[in-house]
Amino acid sequence: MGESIILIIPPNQAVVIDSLLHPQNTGDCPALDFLLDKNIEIAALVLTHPHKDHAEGFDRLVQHCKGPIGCGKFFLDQVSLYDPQGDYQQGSAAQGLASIKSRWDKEPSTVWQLETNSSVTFGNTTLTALHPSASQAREMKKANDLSTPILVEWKEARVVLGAELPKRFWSTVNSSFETTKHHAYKIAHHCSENNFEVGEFQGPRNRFWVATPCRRKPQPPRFEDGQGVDLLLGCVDQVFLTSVLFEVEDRESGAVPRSRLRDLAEAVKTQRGFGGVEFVPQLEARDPQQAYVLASWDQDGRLVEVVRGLQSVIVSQG
Amino acid sequence: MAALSVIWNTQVKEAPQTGPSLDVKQRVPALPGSLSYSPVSSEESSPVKEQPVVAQQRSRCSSLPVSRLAEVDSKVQDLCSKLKRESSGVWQVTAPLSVGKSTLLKELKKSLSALGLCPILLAPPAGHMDSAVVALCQLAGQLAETHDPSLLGLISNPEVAFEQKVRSIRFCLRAHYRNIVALCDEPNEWLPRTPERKFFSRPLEVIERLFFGPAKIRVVVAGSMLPGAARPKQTIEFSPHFDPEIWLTESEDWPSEFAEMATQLFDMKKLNFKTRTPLELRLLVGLLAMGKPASSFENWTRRSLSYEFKRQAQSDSKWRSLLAAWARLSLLRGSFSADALSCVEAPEEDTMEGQILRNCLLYKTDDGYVLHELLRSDISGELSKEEETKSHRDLLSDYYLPKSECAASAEESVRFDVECFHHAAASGNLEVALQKAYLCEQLKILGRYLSKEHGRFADAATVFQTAIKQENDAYAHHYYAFNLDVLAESPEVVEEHYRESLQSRPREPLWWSHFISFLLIRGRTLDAENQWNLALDTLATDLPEWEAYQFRALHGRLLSVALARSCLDFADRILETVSDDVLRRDPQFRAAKKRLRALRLGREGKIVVPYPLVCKNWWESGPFFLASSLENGSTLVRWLAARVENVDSENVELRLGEVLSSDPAEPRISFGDFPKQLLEEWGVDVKELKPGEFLELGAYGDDESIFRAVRHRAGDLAEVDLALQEIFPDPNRYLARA
Repeated sequence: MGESIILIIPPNQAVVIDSLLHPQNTGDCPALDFLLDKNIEIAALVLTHPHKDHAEGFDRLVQHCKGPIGCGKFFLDQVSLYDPQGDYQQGSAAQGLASIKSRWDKEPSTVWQLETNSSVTFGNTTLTALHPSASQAREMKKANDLSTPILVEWKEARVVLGAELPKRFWSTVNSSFETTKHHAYKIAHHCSENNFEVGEFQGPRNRFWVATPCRRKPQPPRFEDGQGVDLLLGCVDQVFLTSVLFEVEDRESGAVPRSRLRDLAEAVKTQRGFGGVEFVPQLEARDPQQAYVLASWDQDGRLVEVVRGLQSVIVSQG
Repeated sequence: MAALSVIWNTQVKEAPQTGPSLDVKQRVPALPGSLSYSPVSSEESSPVKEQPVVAQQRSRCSSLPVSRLAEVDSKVQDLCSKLKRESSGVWQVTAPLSVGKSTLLKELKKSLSALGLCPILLAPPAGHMDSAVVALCQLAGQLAETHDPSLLGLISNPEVAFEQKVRSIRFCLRAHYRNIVALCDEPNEWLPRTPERKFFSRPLEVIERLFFGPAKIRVVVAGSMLPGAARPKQTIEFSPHFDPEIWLTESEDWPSEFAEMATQLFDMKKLNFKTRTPLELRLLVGLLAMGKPASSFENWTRRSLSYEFKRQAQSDSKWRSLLAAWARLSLLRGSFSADALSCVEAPEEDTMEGQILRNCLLYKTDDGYVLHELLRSDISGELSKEEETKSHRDLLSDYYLPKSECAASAEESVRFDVECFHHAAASGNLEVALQKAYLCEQLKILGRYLSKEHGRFADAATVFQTAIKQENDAYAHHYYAFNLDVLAESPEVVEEHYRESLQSRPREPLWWSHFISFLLIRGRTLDAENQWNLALDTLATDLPEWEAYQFRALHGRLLSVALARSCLDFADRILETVSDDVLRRDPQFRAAKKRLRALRLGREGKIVVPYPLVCKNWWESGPFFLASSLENGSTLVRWLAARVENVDSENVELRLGEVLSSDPAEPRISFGDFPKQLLEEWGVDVKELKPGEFLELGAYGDDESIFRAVRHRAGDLAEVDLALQEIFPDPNRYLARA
């Protein structure tokens, strides 16, 4: 489980931000398979931070990438902090980081040290790292605190990819880069409420927001009043979720009110508990290949088209 | 007059030799412990000259068992007459283990010299990395001594190419072939007894070509022939008779207390004397001297005798210096003089320890003292690594370097130089080792010592780099790359030299494993997978002759790396190519399979019991710690396995596994937030509870009204799985250098 974002730059280039492997077929890297299938070249890569749900399979992407690879240098020599021994996915982040180090060693021109304001440009497209600053990189250790949101600018269109940056950093990011002025936002940290500050994201309600819930438990995101998705829907009309683990009634349209998701989440708690404690069952993704959302914008940032996989939903208030 | 340390000593390689005269009646007897204080022919092998206390107690000399001497004489004479008649050919002397083939060769050398021929005796230490190097150097040294003095400078010059050295030796041999007789002592033992032997075989192949090829020289081989050697012209069997009774009862050259013990031994009729070798008798006397009751000796074999001797020496601190000296002396190769005894701080001769050492553990030849090969190997491991290194260092600086500096002949010069090299390499003295290295093979040996024994990878890389400058050697290329790889330095150079080595020697499983592991830990998974496929094709691992050790070399290391880096798909593919038989029997692969399964379950979020229990159907054999009933008689009616996911100030989040009656095939995984207080009430001390720990939760009584929780003490993945191949070096080393 994890998240991976593919940014396609017409006509035939792509930037991939973070990576994941198929939950069962661990040799499959969906982002890579997609691009190879479409014969699209990987022009650049970004590893926002080396947590396994973002780094798994990154090594495979690196071996197909022709251009710069963005990563915080500070992650490389402290791998044990981000890839603790004894974890059942131990080494997956190290493998991603090792692939970056290997490429950086061999081709120094591919080094893109992710620090505030560092950027790369492809034609009309510029990718800018929004965090952390050099001093933050020296002082902080937690991977989420050091994770790098990316601002993508293509002509007038602005897309913010939130990585997993906690909410306390967003005011600085916002004041530096005006991140509220965006056409699309990938919500930080799988929609965890610890990473979302309503005040920092106010703006037009028709912005395109997408979250990548990835835990097997039905949270995050939380669907209850005043929590998680409810907070998001205070800023925008609808939020795309790349995957929910409940069976929704209208799978074809994918539209579902938040209250329905809240009820579905509550319903699965009915399992027999123990000593008065309720259980939440571990839910499996029904169809992980369908856990995606594709969206395209014109040069003014107007949403042109959205295609969603059957595992994804569109949540609105109600 | 030469002291004859009993020629019926049973040493494998360093059998004692008789004096220059074969007139047995004139020989001064020496005991199998070589408590001979009579003068010896070689000055260096002379023991302490002052008369020690014990020595003064000796009574009279007895006669030696002459039967075997006579057999040596007759064989030597027989061989001499054959070698005089013929101008070329190979004669093989076969004999049971440890009866004195080496002694025979040494006698033969003397007799051939007396006949005006030029015998060249090659007797390198058996089974060492440098055995073949030593043999070739011995050949060059003796040719330099007898025919061409310039050979010494040539062979020792690192600037001169190996092939040129060989050409010069061949030229010299051809020029003097009518006169030369080569005597080879167990040439089949001139390579190390490890799979690495093939990398150090070149000097031996040269000797094979020189001696057993078309060259028309005469060669006498004691022991087994080299596999590639020509058929011998004649095989001569040598099985001399030894009569321990004569020796025990009539050899009265013992110190008085030892003589008593010898007599005591003889009086014990149950000791199967007829099958006992002199080594065993020496050890038995030594054991008696150390206070071991003779009644315990009866069923001890030669092997157990040596072991018992060591155990007895270890049992009492009063034998500490004896034990230490024995261990240090085992580092010497071949014979050594009394100087070496002081160098290893051997107990003084006038002490009981000193007497036991000199009479029961060592024996004396014309060339000096010798430690039997069995005693040498049985004491290995007694010294700590540091002590061993220090002993090598002391032997180098206090014994071999002085000897080398005042070598009186080319032959001696070579003999001491190769030993200087050996002890310098073993002690990590780079400067001396480089000075004394004659051949590229020695640089490879030096690099190996520095890397494997001393962990000096940078020095090792430098030495291998020097070796590469001398010769385009695959081993040197590979280990130059490997040592840089360990240091995580210059990855592009590492790759270049790994590739170079595999191009030259593509059938080395371990080398493929090193290279593919390198690619994998560099995050080059696709490259690693491609090279893996190439390795499988090249090595044809599906052939039935592939053995467990080869699978361990190629697959074992890679599996560990792949698992450590969560490359589960790759690990799967590696395991798929291990033969079923090896997979079933080899604990390493069983462990890898278990680890892989656990990692897969971990990815699926199904780990709720400690790692050691993961692969069993834990739900069938558990619970593991919960009591089946409580003191009040309530019985366990329901239980869950749990892993701590998170701990906050109030709650402990648990991942829970439970087999439901509706689905008994597999546990159902759930999550629950348990108040800390509740878990405390159920019996768990939650203060120290951390994510990754495991609990068992149980409900008791028909109405499930009583709850208990128990904490597992250990067993998460971080604990080392001993059967799994240890990963060296650290797979994160390149990242650590970032």
